[in-house]
Amino acid sequence: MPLEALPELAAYSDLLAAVARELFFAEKPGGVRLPKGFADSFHLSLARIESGSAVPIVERDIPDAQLFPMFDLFDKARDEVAAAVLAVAVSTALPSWLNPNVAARFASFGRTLREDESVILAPAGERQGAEYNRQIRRRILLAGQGTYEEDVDLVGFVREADADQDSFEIRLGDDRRVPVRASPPLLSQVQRSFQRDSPVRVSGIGVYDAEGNLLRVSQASDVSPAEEGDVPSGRPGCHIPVAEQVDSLGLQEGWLDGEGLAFSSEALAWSSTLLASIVNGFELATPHIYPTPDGSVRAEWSRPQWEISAELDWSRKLSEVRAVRLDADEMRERTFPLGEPGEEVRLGSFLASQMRGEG
Amino acid sequence: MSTVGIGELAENEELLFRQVHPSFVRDGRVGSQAFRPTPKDKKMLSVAQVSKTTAQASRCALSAACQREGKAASAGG
Repeated sequence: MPLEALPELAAYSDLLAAVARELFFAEKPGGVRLPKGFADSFHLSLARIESGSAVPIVERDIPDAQLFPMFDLFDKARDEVAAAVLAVAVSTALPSWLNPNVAARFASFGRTLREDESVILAPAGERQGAEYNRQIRRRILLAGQGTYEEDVDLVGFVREADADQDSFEIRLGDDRRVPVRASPPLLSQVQRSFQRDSPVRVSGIGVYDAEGNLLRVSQASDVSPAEEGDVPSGRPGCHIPVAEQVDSLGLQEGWLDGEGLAFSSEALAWSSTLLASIVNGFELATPHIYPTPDGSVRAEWSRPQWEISAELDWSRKLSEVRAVRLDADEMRERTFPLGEPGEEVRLGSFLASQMRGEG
Repeated sequence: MSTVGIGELAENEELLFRQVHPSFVRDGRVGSQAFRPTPKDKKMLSVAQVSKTTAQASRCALSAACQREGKAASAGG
């Protein structure tokens, strides 16, 4: 297990403590204070790492049950968190304790996870359990606080530095301007880059909306001159955002020389939400999006020697994906019945694999 | 040899004009839908040969607005 993963254990401990507090107040609606020693009664420690794979065994130091009769709330919190993760995976209702305060703890838990990594919340003695990954974390944060946070590493040019507000704006390769908060020591580098009009690399915590748009960098952890070969950040592909492209497909019946079905507002909204979540969730290039005469929304991606397309049929809640090789007789096709649980994620995974050139 | 409509292509390398609905052009990229025949096309994609027409004339042949503009220009001038 890499050292970088250790903060995740601390974040998990903080999360359970926060959920236990919420459970206490839910059980004691009139209670205004936690019982003395409540927070101190909960400690997790790393007992050992099991050989064979990176499985940290986390143990709880159990206090005197008579002194701390509420301690089982922490066990309940563990089960509730695992249940919430499972509920989000199958899009069922979220628990009442998921308020902005608890969501903030989820923001810390899983921040270092890469797209292909996950944490398995397995019960004692087991290896199977609720799978917590970046997708699940995003959904929980969006449900709890309307935005989600992830580490960002941006390259761009400084615009509008404001030393009094400890903030500046960075302009990315696709002309987006992103506000960044930074401490005074980092702002000195910002000022130098601003004066020289030279690119900077900014790392920190990015705040995203439900559509996956980067709203701001809530705190920069580092600002340094960009190195030779660094390319300004910005999603590759079409320069027009997904939502704007789909919105433009409000075509009337017969739009294609008398042929061509009209697009309903429901179909456009469904297609826009689905495409944006897949493009952002799997960090795909922004597709070029077109109408089809039979009323589907068609997204297309080009990569060397391959053309990839996904047609979204709102009326049948279906997506047909084709990856066609241009220099050989090879085509891969998959159909995704999007009304069924988990199919959106499978669609995104398949598209991502085709973009990477996997079979 | 490939055939197009009533004529034959003199050479397979000849460029062809294809009239495309504006919705099939996005951010300067033409979508593949622009080259898929609709039922009205009866599996025969409409194109014009570079050797027989110009881009402007090819567009005008299928655009009523363009033809009206052409007539107005002739009358005026």
